[in-house]
Amino acid sequence: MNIPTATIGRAVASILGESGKAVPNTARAPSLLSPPTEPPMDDMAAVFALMAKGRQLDLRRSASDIRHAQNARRREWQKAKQALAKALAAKKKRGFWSKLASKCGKLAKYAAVAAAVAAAVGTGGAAAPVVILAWTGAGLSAAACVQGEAHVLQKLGVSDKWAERVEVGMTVGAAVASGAACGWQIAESGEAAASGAEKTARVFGAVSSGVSGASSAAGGYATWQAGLADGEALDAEAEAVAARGADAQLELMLLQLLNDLEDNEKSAERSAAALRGAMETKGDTLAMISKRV
Amino acid sequence: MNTLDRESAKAIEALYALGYGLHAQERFADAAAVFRIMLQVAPTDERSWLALGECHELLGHSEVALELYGAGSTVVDGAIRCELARYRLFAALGRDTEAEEALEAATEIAENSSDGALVELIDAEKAVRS
Repeated sequence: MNIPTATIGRAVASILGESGKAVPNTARAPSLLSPPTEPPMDDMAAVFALMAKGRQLDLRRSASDIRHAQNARRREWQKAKQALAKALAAKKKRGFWSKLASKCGKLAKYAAVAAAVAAAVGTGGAAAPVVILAWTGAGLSAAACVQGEAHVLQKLGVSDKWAERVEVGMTVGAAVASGAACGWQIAESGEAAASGAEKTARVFGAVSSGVSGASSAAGGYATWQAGLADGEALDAEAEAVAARGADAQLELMLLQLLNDLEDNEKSAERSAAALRGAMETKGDTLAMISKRV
Repeated sequence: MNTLDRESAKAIEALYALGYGLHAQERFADAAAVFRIMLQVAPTDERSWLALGECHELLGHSEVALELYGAGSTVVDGAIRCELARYRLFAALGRDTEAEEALEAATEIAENSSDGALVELIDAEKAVRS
């Protein structure tokens, strides 16, 4: 509760005047306001007591607001710390899956090349579709390998995202083609008709195809996990940023509350001084009147 | 009435006297500041609403005044002066239907009360009107 000090200071003496009565206003239609009873001296003290009571309430409220803001700030800080720890863990996880995906990818590519070559050797110039499939597989695989290492597509202006997709497609295509070539060749010529070298090549090709397929799948899974971990890390970082933002807001609020508290203190001091002055003025006036009487 | 209530009642009277004096000197903005405090301290005192409303009315804030009178009528039972003040202001603004309603409300309050002064107040208002 803030009583305007200037108002009190100026008004008290003028209201009470020497006669102690309010000055009637004759300039306008009769007011609906009923005239007040003359405030005796101790009523000013009562105003002061009421102000002091109000001030105490304000102070208690301000202190409680500050405590509340501090608690909220502490909670936000805890949240920010947790979010940062989560982001750190997610980043570590991402690193692991990322490395695994890279290794699996490389293994798949080399295995696919080996499978394709083995399949081509294994067919031994048999049926044309087999040869075509085998060499297509080898070509695709090699291209994928080169692309993976030299980033040719990117240099040709293809985006990273699409280059990666083409690379994965070529690797998988190579593995499928090599495997299919092996299977076809075995079915066509029969195990008995194959030479020792061809048998070895076929077995090697089949194993390589398997390795390539498994590595591709593992690489895909690892990439997926790395992506998830990346997402988690981003989410956690966003949470941490949000928590830090809330923390900053709370700090501002806290400062505002402290400013309000300070203003409240100053205002109360000013009001008290003005009231004291008013009471003294009235005392002097009464003394003057009593001397005249 | 306990000591604190008695002190508060005295303080309210002192505030009212202070505001009234300022109002009488046509220092309506200063008076409004005092009556604002009084309204916070004594919201169930019809004078708080009426006095603050009248200050705003005289400062040219008719809508604010109407809101204050209306709120006073709602908050304080039998706030006949707030109703009368509404009536006067509505009538001054040419809002005759609303003025009529406010006067009817004030008449009803006067009739339901056993206070002869209130009936006289309404009669005086009606006499001015005619």
